[in-house]
Amino acid sequence: MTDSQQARFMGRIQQALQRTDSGAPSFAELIQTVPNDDDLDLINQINSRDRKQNLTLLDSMIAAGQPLSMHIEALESEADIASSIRKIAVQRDPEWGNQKTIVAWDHPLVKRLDLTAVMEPQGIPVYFPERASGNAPHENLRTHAEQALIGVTSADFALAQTASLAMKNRMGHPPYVSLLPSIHIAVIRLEQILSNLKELYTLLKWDPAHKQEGLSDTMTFITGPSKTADIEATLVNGAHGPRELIVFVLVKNTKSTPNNTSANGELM
Amino acid sequence: MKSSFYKSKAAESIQDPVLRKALSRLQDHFGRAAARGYQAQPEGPDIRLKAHDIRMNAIENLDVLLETLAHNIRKCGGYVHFAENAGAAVDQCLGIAAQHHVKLAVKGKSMLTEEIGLNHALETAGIETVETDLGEYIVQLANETPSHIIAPAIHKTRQEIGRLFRDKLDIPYTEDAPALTLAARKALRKKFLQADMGISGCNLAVAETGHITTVSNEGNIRMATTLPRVHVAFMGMERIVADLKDHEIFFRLLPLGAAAQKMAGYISYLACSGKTGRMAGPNAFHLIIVDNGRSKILADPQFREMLCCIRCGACLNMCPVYGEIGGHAYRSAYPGPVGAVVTPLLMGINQSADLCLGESLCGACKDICPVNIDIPRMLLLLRQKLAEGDKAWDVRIKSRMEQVAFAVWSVLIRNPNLYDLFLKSASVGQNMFPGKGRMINKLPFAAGGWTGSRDIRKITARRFIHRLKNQQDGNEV
Repeated sequence: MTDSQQARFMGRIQQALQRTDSGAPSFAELIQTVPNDDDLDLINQINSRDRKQNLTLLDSMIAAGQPLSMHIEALESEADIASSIRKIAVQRDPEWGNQKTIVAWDHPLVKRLDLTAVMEPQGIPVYFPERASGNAPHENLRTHAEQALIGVTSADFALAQTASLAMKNRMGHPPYVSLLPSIHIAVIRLEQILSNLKELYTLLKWDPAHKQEGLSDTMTFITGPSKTADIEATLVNGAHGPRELIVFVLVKNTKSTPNNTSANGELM
Repeated sequence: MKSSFYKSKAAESIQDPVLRKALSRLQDHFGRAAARGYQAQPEGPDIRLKAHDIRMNAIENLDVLLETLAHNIRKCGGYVHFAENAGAAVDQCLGIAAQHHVKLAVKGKSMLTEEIGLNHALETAGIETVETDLGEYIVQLANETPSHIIAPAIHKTRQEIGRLFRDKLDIPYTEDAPALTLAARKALRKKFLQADMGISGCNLAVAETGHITTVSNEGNIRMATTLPRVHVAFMGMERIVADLKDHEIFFRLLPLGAAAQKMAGYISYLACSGKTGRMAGPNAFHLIIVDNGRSKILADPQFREMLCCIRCGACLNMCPVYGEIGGHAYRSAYPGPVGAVVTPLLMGINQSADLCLGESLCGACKDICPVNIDIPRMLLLLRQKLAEGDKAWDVRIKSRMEQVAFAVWSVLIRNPNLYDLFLKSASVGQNMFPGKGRMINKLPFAAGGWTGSRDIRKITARRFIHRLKNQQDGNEV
């Protein structure tokens, strides 16, 4: 690629648009650069949601997930979630090898499940990205992910209206954990559920922490298990990605506190 | 004149009950549900008008948006290439493949790569190229071409796919859709893990953030853009919006238009973070932005609107013509109403004349389009250019004979005496054509097109105007 190729390419577009010398606007003129009142109101509304409102969103999300064959379940403690994951691991058969294995994000909420200890009696190894292994902590995990039965992640947000998960790519959160294993389990907190895409995009664009961090090099929205309808328009789950998607929502049985979500989806 | 490819292929499809059943199921299932989906939006179906405005605004500032996108991608370590035509785009991809010693490439579904003939070029260069969308994979194994933008293998039955997989994948014959899907899952898994290069299209890039987006339900595009060492994305130059917030509308509308879904299974925003590509992903990210005739569409204000298209395929799921003849008659990566406009504009209006002449102008495509593109208006405009010729688009008059016929007709109907004489002689002359009672069932020459599939009523001996006059004079009840 050369600059002259680009210049000729742009020249054709400018000619087509009949741009004069001072014709093209600057990019900043084409987009909204500061939040308007609606944006600020919406952010305020999201941040001041109470527990009751969050639980209503959770109910909507569970309902939206049903026709997508998603299993979404609210549990009160990390121990309950870990125990549910253990049950799933025991019940399901491995798909990509004889040994049942789990790969998981190096994420505070996932780490608190203490999966390594919970799975040990079952003889199911749990692999995390190795922080200490130098330049490529992800390489080692990927090999495990290719064989894994279950991948455990968290998410930045979930959407009640469509039962979607939104996740950015960060150190310790490789995207293939939600992609290569036969089953994808996401663990989130109740307060991470937003209503819809509009709220999500408003936060991504205007929330100071998200604005500063950017979208990362891979931001993924996941809705339901991998599926296809390419053979006679018949819906089949488990095309290339996970054939099951399970979301555990941690709903602590405590008094309500307003949302306080940092960019990495953790409690501040 | 010998029958065109379009006409013979269409005739063939109409005789194929299996294809017609599949198409009618597809249209019943997706087309109508998409319309209900628009109705259910908080803004109502008018949301499509807003989407149209956003797209049009992007198209009219394409130079600014593309410069910004390229700048933002390069800033983060990605590579951006601009390709004037299909050949340049293919060469750039071959160059990248050579540079990275690529032997195996896996592809996510991309109609643009069909348009530029990428697979053939890669295979010729000795690079094994595997389509990974299940429908595309089936079509590739069968050595055919896609017949629908979203459901590429809609023309194949499960029995055909069962036989195909038995022969090509060496599995026992089955016609069970889950079992066939599982067989493809296993076969393609190996390819994903071995591939050196992943190739994808681009849905709608965001200039502001410097990301391309990909959408799939199967997860195959995520695989192809996450696992191989190199990711090459192809993007038609019009597939961009300015602002992240613009996506809110499109990612509600696109899945509805495409498959009547509230939300697509996977939507990914892909960019780069440093010279080593993506963290836990490919080491290099290349974006190839392709013109290949699009700047000519942009230059014509009457056709510019076509660049708003987001290639969801909704118009295919509604079009009565596509519903009867299927995708192959269009002989293009873009079948259906969208193809009937885009293909002539990209490939030549005369060469693809049948496509825009074959549509019915019923307007269903406009009503179902998530971006409310006025396809019927542009179909009519293309027909006008074919009738009258057009220098700017290099269109030859399709039929001098037709032009002469209409010139004669125009003289006739403006001259009552001449018209009277014409009708009188025609009412006598028509008796030489075969027919029954008041109907003629075979006309000669160009008029034979009419009687090919139906009869035409004979001209009455006495004109309406004379009968009316008689009636007014009290001679007739």
